[in-house]
Amino acid sequence: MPTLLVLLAGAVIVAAGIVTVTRRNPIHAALSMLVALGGVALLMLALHSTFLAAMQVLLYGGAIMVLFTFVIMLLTLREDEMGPEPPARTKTVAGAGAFFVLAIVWWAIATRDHHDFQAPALGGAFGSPEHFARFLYTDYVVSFELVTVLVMAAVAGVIVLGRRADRESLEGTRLTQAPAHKDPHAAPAGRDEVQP
Amino acid sequence: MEPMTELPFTGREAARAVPIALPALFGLVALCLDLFLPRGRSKGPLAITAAAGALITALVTLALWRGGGETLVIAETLSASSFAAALSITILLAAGLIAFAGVHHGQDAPAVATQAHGEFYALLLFATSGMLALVAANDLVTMFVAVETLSIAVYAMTGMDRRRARSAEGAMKYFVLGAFSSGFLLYGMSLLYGATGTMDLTRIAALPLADGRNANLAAMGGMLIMVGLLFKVGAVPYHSWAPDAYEGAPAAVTGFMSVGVKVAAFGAVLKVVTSLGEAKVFGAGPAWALWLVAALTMIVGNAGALTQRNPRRLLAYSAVAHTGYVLIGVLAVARAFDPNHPLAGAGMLDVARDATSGVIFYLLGYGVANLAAFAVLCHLERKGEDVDDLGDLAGLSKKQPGAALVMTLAMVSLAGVPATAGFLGKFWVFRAGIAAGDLGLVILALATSALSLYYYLQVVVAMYMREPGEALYAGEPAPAAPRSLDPEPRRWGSRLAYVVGGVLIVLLGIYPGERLLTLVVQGAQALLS
Repeated sequence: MPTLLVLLAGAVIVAAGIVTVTRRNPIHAALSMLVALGGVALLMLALHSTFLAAMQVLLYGGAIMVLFTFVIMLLTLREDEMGPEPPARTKTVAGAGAFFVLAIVWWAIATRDHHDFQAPALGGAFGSPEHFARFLYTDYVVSFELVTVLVMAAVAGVIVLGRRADRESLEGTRLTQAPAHKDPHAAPAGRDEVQP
Repeated sequence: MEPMTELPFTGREAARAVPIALPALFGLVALCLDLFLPRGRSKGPLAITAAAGALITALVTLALWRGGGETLVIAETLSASSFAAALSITILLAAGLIAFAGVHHGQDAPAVATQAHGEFYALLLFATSGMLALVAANDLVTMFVAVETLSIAVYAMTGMDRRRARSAEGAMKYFVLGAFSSGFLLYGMSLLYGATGTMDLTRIAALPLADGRNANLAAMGGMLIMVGLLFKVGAVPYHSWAPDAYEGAPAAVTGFMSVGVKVAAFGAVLKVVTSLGEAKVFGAGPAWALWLVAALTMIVGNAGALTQRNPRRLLAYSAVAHTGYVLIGVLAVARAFDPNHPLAGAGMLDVARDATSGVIFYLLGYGVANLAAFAVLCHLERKGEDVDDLGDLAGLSKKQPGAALVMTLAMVSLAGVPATAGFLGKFWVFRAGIAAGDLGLVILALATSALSLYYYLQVVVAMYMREPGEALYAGEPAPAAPRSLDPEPRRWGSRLAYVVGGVLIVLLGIYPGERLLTLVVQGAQALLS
């Protein structure tokens, strides 16, 4: 029964993943990614990781996907802003590359020996928040603390990158002699070339 | 209520993680201190805070990580060994010098937005924390979080210059490709976990994988991890982000990124190569791939640098080339674990140790020279605009002989001329390469090093053999409005940084000192015990 669930979840993830990378409409891509993320949650359930599955749905399916759709909505990309369709040759090469990687990984997985692997013991508490927290605050406490530095770096980075180029501060005090440069807060270079 | 879980480590063990926490702590201090500095004034106090933080961390690191005893601490997630200590010195040197070099960024620019922000120091120190964690990481989770911590801070620093579209472009490319490489890293880690059932690199090293058939899966995972890490060091074919990111970022950030990220990532590369080597996973196949990457990196890096006119782009390709030279040492370490190698045996362990010492010293020498060069570029920044053309350096020896001299020393050291830090590092790594049987690769390295003299000396020619305002090449029109190269008396920070850099280049090249060499050798022994 769990094997069936794993196979089902795997099929859903792969199908949704392919749709995600092949759709040109960003909303379609984002929605199929949501399906893929749901499939991953299902996979975690099948592996007895109930807490992780709940987090997957809450964080990825909830928070991150909402962020995705908001960004897409705010950008309101027009067809001509999405850049030209990549040539067929590029697609063929990329597809062949992906298939090549898949084949090697498949071979590596197919030749593996189940007796080599020491699976973690499945107990009553396995996958529960307590089990998860115990690892987080004991064995992996360094990583856990390091993530706080990571988040601080991300916050400081957002403040730096969100600062407007021609303003003194975020409060918006305009300088008397604003530089004559074009406004880069409109963004990454390249966009300027698209717009007339 | 359940009884309290027994902690798997003691307080003494936890104290070993202090060097990782210290830079982050100083980063927070810098952020808070920034609140009290008057707007638009010099960020000198922040630079001093950051440099003091780096210095204190260096002293604490040497005290805590160098000693003997058990080095695997906190449930074996950290390896607080001499190896980590030796690499940390270069990383902390980069953080300290760049804190001073970057303090004048945009000082005389019309827009306050161009000036150095307090966040620069916070990001610099947060990235340093991540780098120290990466060189000490002993399990895959810690390694991944460390890579992400340093990367996110460095991505943001690359895009710091909000006035220039180039900065945003460089940051965007670096970020997108970096996220892509993180995917490889994570995929490789999960495959390696699938093959071994543990995240602990020490336990992976002790597994008898060669006998079981999981070796294929582990090798696949190891290769993908290497792809992710080789991206960070800028090895070909994962180097394409480097020129744009190096050019887009302000000179101070480029200097930090070219040294800190590279040193930390090479630490992780060596760790992965030795762990998987001891598990008998990395045999002849990965060594062959590494050989190819090293050769391509040297060729593409040096060939790319030949035609560059922008000093930061030139140094970007030079950084790629140096990655290739370091990879010779990494390859020698990998060879030691190849049972079919013609020189296989006890002697190969000594070769691997020698190669590791060489890599550690090479990275220090490369770091010092690169930091000195970028400190000079920071010193020459005017109104928030970096030197964007080698021709702008024309006549620097007349206007600022000190800066020109340090720049020359840096170029000569990067080229590997004797009596500089770069020569000793190259000699050490190449010797190990020959001992490991990679004579062809070393010959290629020597040939490309000779080639590199052309573009390094081009910088020297501009500074010493051209008058201020003269064109770099005959037949080229002289620049309409030559950059001002007049000395700026207020630039104490960048001056201090380049003077220290210049002194260290000579010192490391002539007499590195018994204690430093002992640390380097101990570092290699700690990795390959």
